[in-house]
Amino acid sequence: MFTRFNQNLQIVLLDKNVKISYIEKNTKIVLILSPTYYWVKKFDLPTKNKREIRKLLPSLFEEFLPNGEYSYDFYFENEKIIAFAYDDSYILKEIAKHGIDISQVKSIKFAQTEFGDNNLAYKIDNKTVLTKQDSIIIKVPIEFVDEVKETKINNIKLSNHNIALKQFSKIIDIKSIYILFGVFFMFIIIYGYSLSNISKKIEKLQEQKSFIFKKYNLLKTSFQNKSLYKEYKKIDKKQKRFKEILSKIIMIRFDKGEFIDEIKFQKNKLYITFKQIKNKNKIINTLKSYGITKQKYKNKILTLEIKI
Amino acid sequence: MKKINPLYLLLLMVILTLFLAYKTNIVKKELKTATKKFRKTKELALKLHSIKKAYDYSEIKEKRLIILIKNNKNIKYTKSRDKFIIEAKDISANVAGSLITKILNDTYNISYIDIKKLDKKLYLKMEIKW
Repeated sequence: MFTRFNQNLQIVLLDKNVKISYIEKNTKIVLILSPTYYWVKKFDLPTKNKREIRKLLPSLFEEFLPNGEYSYDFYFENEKIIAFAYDDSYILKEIAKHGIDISQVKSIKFAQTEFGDNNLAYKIDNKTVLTKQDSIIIKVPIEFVDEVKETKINNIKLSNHNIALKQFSKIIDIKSIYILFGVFFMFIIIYGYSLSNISKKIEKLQEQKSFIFKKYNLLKTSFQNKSLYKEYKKIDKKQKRFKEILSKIIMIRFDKGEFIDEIKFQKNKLYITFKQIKNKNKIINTLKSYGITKQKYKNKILTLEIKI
Repeated sequence: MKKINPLYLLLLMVILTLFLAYKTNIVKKELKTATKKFRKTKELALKLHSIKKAYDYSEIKEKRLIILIKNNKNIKYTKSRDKFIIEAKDISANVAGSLITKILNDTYNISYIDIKKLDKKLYLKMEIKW
């Protein structure tokens, strides 16, 4: 039994005896649960603390409910507590059985909170009505009431009281969800801490890098410094080679009368002039491993050129 | 259905955990690269510093050269901002040998050298570039 409330919202009374016709997919549904889907009790408790009351509810309903898992809800009415117990999975099954897509459901309400004296007795079907007895809405056969009001469900002024069904309670129970919350929370903390720690390390490295640049008077970029180092390395290599060749020349054992006339190092080239040389090969063989680029032997004068 | 389903929150936490794990992994790689780069920079800085110290001008190095030369009147020197020139027109082979050995045992950027045998002595010209 439903009626069009506006173009995109429909109020539907969910009851076992009511068959629900097709609801368009873009329409949202406000579902009012018939008393067949929940247990309702009126209590008089010494406390008004909502948290305490919520804790007490399971024990208050214990003796009335069959075995199963239930959710509880309540509200205050004239200093008394109207409390509800309902089976989420059962209601969900019933919603599905009536062909209602749960994603279309905007809110779920109890008939208890939505029907008042002005719209009772409310006719559910030809056999049953909703009526009020001792301020509790109940479902009774139509013969039990004297007068039935022709209330259209779209005329009902909706309350703010809604319930949220635990849709996934069958897949994972709440305890497991809390454990998983804990586990993932721990992961988040660990990763968060590690992330901040690593970021700090990177920052520290950057600071140390800047300090090194400042301390050693380095050029702005690594590329410039590498090029500069290469230049110095080239000088170093050249000097070492020059010194090595020079010491090799000095170590040559000359025959009597032979001598070095001149050693000249200019523009990366080393020129050596030997005089009175009888056996040029002895000298050439000593220095050939350094790559003689030019050699001249005339009138016992041997001139060599080596590229440094 | 105004209340948020705990499974949605759990899903959000899973997504957040995965995101943080992914981000941590990226940052870890960044740290690895930054550490590697830092080590390379430090290594380069030290090498560059020591090689520059060896070949660049320093007052001590210049003084060391002057002390070597000072003992012999035949050896003259001229110095400019980027060069130090030693010239001896008439020195004995022993003095020249000792001087050249001492200079070569140190680290100088010798850009020019000319050692020529004269009758009994030697001509020496050496140019050190700073």
